[in-house]
Amino acid sequence: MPDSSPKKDRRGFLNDALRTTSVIALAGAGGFLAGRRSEGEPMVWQLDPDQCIGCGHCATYCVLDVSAVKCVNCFDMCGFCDICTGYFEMNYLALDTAAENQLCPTGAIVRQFIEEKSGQRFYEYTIDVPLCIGCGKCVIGCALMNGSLYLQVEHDRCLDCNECAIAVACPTQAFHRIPASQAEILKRRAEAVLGARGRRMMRDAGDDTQRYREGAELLERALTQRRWRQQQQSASSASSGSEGTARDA
Amino acid sequence: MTRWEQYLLAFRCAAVSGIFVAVVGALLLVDYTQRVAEDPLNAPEYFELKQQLREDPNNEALIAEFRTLDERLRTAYFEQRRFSWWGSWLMFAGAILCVAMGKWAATLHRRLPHPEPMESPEDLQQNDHRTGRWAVAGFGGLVVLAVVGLYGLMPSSLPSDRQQLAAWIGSEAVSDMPRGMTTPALIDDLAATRPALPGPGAADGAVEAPKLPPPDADLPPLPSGFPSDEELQANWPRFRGWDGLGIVQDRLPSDWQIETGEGIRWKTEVPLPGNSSPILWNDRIFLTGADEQHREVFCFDASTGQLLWRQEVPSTPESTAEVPKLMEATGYAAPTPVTDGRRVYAIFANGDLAAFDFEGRVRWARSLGIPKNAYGHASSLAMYQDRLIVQFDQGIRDEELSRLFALDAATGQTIWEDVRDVPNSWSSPIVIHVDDQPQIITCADPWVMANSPADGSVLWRADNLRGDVGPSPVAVGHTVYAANEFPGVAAIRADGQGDVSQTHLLWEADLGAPDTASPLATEELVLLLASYGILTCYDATEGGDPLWELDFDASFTSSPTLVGDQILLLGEDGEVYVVEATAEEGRIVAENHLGEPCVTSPIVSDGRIIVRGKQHLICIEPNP
Amino acid sequence: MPLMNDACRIGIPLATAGLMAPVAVASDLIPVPDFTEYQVPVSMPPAPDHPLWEWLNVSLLLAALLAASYIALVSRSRRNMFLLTIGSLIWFGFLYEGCICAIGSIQNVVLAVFDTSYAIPLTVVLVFLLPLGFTLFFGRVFCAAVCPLGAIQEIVAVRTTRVPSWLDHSLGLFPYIYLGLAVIYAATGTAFVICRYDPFVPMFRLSGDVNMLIFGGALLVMGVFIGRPYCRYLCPYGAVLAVLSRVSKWHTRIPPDECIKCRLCEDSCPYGAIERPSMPPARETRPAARRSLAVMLALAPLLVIGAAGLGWLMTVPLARLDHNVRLAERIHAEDTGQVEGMTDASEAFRNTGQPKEELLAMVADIRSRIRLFAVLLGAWTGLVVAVKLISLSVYRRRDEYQPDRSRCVSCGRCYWYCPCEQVRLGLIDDISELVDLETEEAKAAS
Repeated sequence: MPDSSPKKDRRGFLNDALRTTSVIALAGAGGFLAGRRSEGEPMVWQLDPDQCIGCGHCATYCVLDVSAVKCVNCFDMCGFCDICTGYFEMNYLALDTAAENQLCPTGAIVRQFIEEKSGQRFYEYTIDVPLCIGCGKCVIGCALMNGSLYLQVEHDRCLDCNECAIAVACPTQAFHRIPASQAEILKRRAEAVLGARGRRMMRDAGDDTQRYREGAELLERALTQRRWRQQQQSASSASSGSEGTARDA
Repeated sequence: MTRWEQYLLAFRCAAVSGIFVAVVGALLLVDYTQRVAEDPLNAPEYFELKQQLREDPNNEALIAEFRTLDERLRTAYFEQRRFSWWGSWLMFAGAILCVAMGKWAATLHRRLPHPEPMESPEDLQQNDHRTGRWAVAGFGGLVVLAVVGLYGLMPSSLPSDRQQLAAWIGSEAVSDMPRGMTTPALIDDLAATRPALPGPGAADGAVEAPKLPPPDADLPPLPSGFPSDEELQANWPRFRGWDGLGIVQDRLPSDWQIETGEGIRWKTEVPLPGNSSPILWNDRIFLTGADEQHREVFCFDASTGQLLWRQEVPSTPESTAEVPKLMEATGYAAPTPVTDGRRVYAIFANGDLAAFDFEGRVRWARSLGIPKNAYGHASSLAMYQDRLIVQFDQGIRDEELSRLFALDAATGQTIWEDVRDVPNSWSSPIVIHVDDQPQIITCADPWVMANSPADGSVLWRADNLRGDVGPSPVAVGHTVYAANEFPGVAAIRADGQGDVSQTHLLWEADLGAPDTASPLATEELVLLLASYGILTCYDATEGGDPLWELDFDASFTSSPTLVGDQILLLGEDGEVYVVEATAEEGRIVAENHLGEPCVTSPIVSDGRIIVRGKQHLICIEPNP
Repeated sequence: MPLMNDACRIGIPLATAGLMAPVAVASDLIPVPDFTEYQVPVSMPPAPDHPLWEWLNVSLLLAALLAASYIALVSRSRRNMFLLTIGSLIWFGFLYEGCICAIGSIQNVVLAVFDTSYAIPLTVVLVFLLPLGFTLFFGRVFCAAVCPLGAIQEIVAVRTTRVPSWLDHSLGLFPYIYLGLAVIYAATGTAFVICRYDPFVPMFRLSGDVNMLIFGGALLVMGVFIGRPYCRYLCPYGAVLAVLSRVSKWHTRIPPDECIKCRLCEDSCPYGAIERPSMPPARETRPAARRSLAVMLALAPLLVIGAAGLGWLMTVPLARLDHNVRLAERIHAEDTGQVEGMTDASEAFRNTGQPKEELLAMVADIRSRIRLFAVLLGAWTGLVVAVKLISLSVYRRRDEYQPDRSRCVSCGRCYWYCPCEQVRLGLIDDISELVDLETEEAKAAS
């Protein structure tokens, strides 16, 4: 076939040219994105407890059979109450672990007596994480008082879905992508009390370097939260700002 | 076993396991629908029984019944979970078996090619392409149908763009708004639907910016020297009043309404955005505004609100070579200008610094270089006599880039500069007198520092701040109060020397610590305004636990101002609160609103409030 | 506490409103007691997986791509390819559990381009780029045996039938439209639709959204008879790879060397990717073919413009995927009495006290932003249809049986059917054992 070979050559040349262009384009895109990436690190999903309304979607929408969202207790916000509104039903009959008194549907909150002081009995409430289903019943209960119980995505369970199914369903859009090293979003109040505690620990540490380091870590944890919130704020104002300019144009 | 028998075996295995998978799948599905329909954790009988129990709490039988039910439901819940776990694994195993057997069967009984007589190659391609084209056309038709169907089936009663929204809000009944909001003022950018503003209004188009004077032009000389304390006290020459402490002997206007314009003297649109606060000298108000390209100083007539002039700050090629990286929330014009009654001095996010006379002519301009600042430069300017004080903190601590400058107000020449061992900060300096000795007090991480205005030497410093320091210091008598979100507020005696961290700290506290708003201190009380809406009051001499806390349904960036015995607070969404504070309690005595967001601190002078909102400069003054 | 019984009814909504406010009422808080001994613990969040896992995954992806390329182009072993497929399914599918995959990474990349505040991890960039790069040189080897979604369909494809070519031509356009849709939703930060409607990831995790599980199961059952339905008619990444594969430097071939046109492989491809030899139209029909090409070329701009117009119509339906738009419509429907009661979202919104007008303004902004993208999506769809119509009006000459580079996934099923390959493998000594070339030619002649 004498006429086909120049045609084939032409095709081959065209293919080569297109391929080279594509390779250059891919490399360029990769370089551009890698440049972007240097500003950040792997992202994971987390919910902002200040935005949470305890609707229960975390328990039902997670792709895992038992949700990766669990309750945590920020002990520095906790009143260690005898009558815990996150632990007991509103209409409890006695302050015991009987079914009619407990709020948690899976019995995932452990109530532990700490001490009695000037007639008040103090209890510690910890979460039995494997039992917790993230339904948020205790969160709503605790919100009546101190709000120290709140939900968080536990990253040792979370599958890091590219699009979190709970985030899609969340009625207040409380889920955010956050840097993996940050791992949590603290309540603003928790951030303040933990920061203050860290500062206190650093101040009182004296020669105890271990304690000083722990305090510094706590303070850093709170500062990380603060930076993140600031960034969120400026990102949201930036987006509304850009809309503004678009309107003006 | 023959090949055929093997095939039959494989095929039957595949079929059986396929049926098994289908059955398990169906069971799982049924179980799932049941689980959705009657979630044991939300079973109606549970709540019913609980209701009964509430009505009859001492019925032992009922309690027992409830416990049994509870146990049954909890068991049911865990059983369901176990069921679905086993079910999915069984299904998975069945599917693997089915696929493996099917594969085996297919391999054993591979369909061998049996080519049929071929059509001619030309017809083949032509026919294929012809039918292909029609099929693609049909596909396109389906897409069109789908689009039209979706468009038709999913209409929306909501407006699609801002023009429509404006018209829509006009036409919608006000009763539609559940919380009785008056509609037009709510959306700040729907200016078209607003009632006409009282006063001369925005008139920036009519104002001719004065031409930049040629460098060699003969400018009329300005009076030399510096203003007396009395002159300063009569005016509002800098951020937070004449001495930057946010305290003024004046009175607040009582009643006004932004919607109707009642009690609003004038309201003028500010041509460029900025977070800087206005300053006042006699009948002139100065303000700065900037975006990425432009940095301007505005002068308004205090009695009419008219924009008298606007003047761009001359930039150097270095200062405009790049746009400083900053947070949108800070903006390009966050620092408040300062005036000495002769010139007005302004600094911007890119480090451009300029002095204008009151007619808008540039007297001098220089650049301090683009600061390395995480949020954007925000420290306001201060003056001591004829010296302009610039706190210019940047970078990280080890870089030693931070400076405190004293510049000659007349020429802009540096008189002295102090290299500061601090990272970037956003706090503004104040000048106080301790035993008749002037001190410049500045805040940054970690030092609260006092410099001598004479030569810049560090008089004392205290290690009391951490993190991103935003609030400015205040002082009463010999005591300096410095606050930041971390670690809190510190009261420091200002008569020390060297590092006074251990020796001159009067008290410390951390509850209610502010992150942006500066504290307010009197002889008796220290008030902290946290951005999340809590005003915390401490005893000024003792510290200790807060005397009281007052809650607001607002966020705060603006610093509090004490006017007579009333405290003026401006919320981020334009809320206005007037608070009366005693050692016993804090009480909100009046509330109002500005009708637009506000992050700046106001001027209070002669019974007027002059404040910059997001778009407007507003003068509140009861009608004379 | 009998009083609290009644209080709880009112108390809970109030409390949820309080949760929305930045911070609870500080003065009402019960302080942490001053314990004598007890140390108040600090709860720490569990740390996410070590980033090295991601890198391990990327290096395994690279290794799998290399292996697939080697098998497809050099060793030509269907058995090894199948083993690699199973390996990929186990690792990238069942063990790694799906995220992040190359298909979904399209959206991360698009989001990173449009949203400067989103920092894309380098591993995700690599997961996106590696298969594209390999495709440019070796064809769609990623689809062959690396992609777990392809692997699960490859394994179930045991009794495939040929999809009529016309159906293949038209359904084959859908991935491009889906790609466009995914891009505009990712660009506006609205949703990651590819991940939301991924039919197989729930299977890899043995749990997930029931509708998607059923959809995936249906696709797999269908996949027994119609090879790789997701890859061919849905996969947006496959659409990109199909385009790149056209210009690939090397590509797998059916015969190891020369094609003898024995037609034995004709029906061997489960994905209908084998192209028969073809001739351009005969001389007398050429003017008609040229005319038809000219018509298609003239039609193309009209199609693009018309489709862009249709895209404009799609603004409102497309914007409905956005949370705030749905919320605003719900609130409006509640206010005008079209629906009873409140949803969690509308109740939460009302509790914030944010004026409805702000939400409406947001909706207006979202719609105007989506309008631009909707018009672009329309134009893109028009372009896809137009290019397909033009390519169906161009005739090529092919002298041998060869895989269609855009559709062929290099799975290697056709090798076995080629007598030359059987000779190469030593299964037969000579091709004449399978084909009688003389008779074939004689048949063709008669």
